[in-house]
Amino acid sequence: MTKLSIAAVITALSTTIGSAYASEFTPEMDTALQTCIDTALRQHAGVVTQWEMDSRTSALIIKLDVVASDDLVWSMRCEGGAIVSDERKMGNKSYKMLSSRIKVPEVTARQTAVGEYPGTELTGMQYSLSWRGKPSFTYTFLTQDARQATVEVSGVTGKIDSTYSSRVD
Amino acid sequence: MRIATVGFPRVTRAAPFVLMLLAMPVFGSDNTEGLDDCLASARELHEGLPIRWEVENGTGHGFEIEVVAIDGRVWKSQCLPASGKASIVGRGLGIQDYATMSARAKVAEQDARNTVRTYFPGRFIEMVFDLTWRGGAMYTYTVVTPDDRETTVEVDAASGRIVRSKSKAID
Repeated sequence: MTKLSIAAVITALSTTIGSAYASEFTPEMDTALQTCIDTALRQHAGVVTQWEMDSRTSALIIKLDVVASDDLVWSMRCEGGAIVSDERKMGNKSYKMLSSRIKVPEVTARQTAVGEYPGTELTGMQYSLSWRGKPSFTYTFLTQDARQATVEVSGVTGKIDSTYSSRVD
Repeated sequence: MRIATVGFPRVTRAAPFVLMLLAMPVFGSDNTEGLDDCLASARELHEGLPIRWEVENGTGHGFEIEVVAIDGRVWKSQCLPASGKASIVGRGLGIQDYATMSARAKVAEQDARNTVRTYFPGRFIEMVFDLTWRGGAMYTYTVVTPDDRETTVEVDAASGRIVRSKSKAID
């Protein structure tokens, strides 16, 4: 009986620890994320250069950065598909340069990146240009076996350029 | 144009094509067919620990295997997967610490390979077993993914877990 109780406690603990590391990126989360992105772009038409997702809270919280068509950078917080805060960030970014170089939609790049680490937690995306002007989407994941992984998807070809993962513990 | 097999019963007609398919290298394979037999054969030649294997030219036609013998000498052998028999081609330079290496390889290389196969499906190119500067042991695999990325995966030889991975598109 005691052995059974210990086994049950160990199982419960390992499940808790496992879930603390990663929660899977589901199609529902993908839809929620896309809703937030669309809402943010309705508020400030432009290019989403960054988003971070916290799926461990009861409501999905997404933080986004948008470079608007007038080169201003806006930082927004989205909860349940609605923008709850919207503030301007310091400095400007070239909307024209950022928007003209993307040949692949971010949502397509996202699906490619998720395919590389299926069943893991997707935590963020960053869109940037390399020093040569090459556009890329960098996605960050937290895998079930406690590794933090990044996947860089080319904004021109839509293919994975590079990946990196290492243990977080 | 009529081919020679016309007129034979259907099964007999298919036989040359089936044989041809069997003789061809297996497409979509991960290059490790026959590797375990080759490793076992290499260890029969010199009892010890395989510390490196490489798929020759990345084709899957043969393996180059290095084994650290109990006396610390490194022996290089070659093996064809079809035969599963390794033959010695020479001795590597220097002496390795067999006792430390074998004691720290708690997870079998085959199990580490299976872990890599699960997370990074593709064609295996190379495996290197080595000790880290901290004294831990690591299996480092090189895999080419189906979308032509060269991936390096490090597996902890004590826990069998992936510690680090890195991939880059082959230009």
